Amino acid sequence: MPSMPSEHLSQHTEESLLQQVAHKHVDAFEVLYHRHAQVMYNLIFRIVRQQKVAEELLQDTFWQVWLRADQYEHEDAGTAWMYAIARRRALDYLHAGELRPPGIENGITTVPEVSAQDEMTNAEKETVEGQRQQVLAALRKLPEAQRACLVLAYFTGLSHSEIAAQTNSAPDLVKVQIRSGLENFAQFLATFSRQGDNPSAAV
Amino acid sequence: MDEQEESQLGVVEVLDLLPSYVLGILDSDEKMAVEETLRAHPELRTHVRETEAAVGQLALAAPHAPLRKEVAAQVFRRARASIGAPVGPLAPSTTPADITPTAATPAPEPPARPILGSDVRPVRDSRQRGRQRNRMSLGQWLRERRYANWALLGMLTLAMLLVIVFLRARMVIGEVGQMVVQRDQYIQQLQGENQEIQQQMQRQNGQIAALTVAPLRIILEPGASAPPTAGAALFITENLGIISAFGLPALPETQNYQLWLIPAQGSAVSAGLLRMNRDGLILNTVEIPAGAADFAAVGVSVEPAGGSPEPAGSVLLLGNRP
Repeated sequence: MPSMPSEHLSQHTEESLLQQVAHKHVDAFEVLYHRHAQVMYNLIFRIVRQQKVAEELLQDTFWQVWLRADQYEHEDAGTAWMYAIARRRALDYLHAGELRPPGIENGITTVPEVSAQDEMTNAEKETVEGQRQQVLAALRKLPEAQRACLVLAYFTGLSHSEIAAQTNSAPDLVKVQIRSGLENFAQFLATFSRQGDNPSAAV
Repeated sequence: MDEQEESQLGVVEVLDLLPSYVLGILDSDEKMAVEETLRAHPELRTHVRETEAAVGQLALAAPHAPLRKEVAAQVFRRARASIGAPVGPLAPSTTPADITPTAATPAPEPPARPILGSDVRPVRDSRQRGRQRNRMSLGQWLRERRYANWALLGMLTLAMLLVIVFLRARMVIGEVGQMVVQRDQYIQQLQGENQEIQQQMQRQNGQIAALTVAPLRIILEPGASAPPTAGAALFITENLGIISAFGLPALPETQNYQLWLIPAQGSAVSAGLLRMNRDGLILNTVEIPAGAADFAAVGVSVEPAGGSPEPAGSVLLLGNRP
């Protein structure tokens, strides 16, 4: 398979890159890595909280992307597809090792502030950082109960009853909080996007 | 309403559960019900995609964690190696060698795609399985997942080998059984022969005893038609006699030598046919008929095969009772 210049590939969408990865296009694969590895590593590290384990899981995640890109359905969001692989890998490891998921007492539901480490240099990373700020702002806008249930479900994979135990709630109520939280979260993100990547104006 | 329809949920219920489904935190029954309904309502696919996209955005909420550049080198190296592309030198790594994926590692079959075509597979089932295991290292965990198919293939191969070994063992056992039967038959045959030999030895021992203690001994001389070197001796004890003859010519199968007890008055009485061995000697046990015990002479004649009621052929040996 002939290689395409990375400069050209950098303009491609995730969906286009995944199609090329399905044909074992290494340059497209490298572009995908450089574009998303940091976010995926953040996610994995947030779940397993061990550097070496997180690095191994990140490698394994991209290995799965490399192997399974031909199964990716192109009408789906490529980014969400890759992030889901990373999350599932990390959660599987977390639960297979019977590691105790971080709970509310560990501050997992606390929405972090943007730190100096998050500063990114090139335009691509600035775009990702802009999206991240929107996500954090949308989470901050959620009611506390919705945010706690949504974040616990996403970063720990706990069941409704387990989340209910952590939040002193009822399982059925947790379902409602998750559904409402995700709907509100998506609406806030859409609003921020329409306002031109300036979530601070809306918060 | 069939079973499939009973397991489906209403569209509103599915939309309520969709976020938890995409997050993978439904229990197995709820998950199956959602999937059944999604199969029956393809129009809900758009909602699934929107939910997956929203859930995917949550990854951006994770705080920054420094990612070493060496990880990228290892990821690319492995991908390039899998298609035979040049991989270049391996970047230094702090990860343990035993759990670091290597270029030589064969690519496992990717897992089956979930029902919705998305990779957002509920993790609850795998988590339940995982909780049943003991704590394991990351390397063990990755190897377990990557080589599950190879392990299955290995188990199938082992099962086939066991079947082959079992069939071969059955065949060998059958052959051994036949050999045992043949050996038993051979042993029975040997036992029969041994019994016959024992009986023959007993007879010979009796003959030897008769020879040594017989009170009546009769010497037979050659007749005119017999070779001059022929002769015989008859030893009699009560009603049993032993005759030993030598120098007689071998007879064709149509003829036999026959022993006669000749009384002083009357007809000769047969004392039986005589068998010659391979060396041309005759050593036979004969019974003395009760009515012929007071015979006066003994003779050996050539008779047709099976013997004659009276002497009909030429008499080769003849001896008088002392």
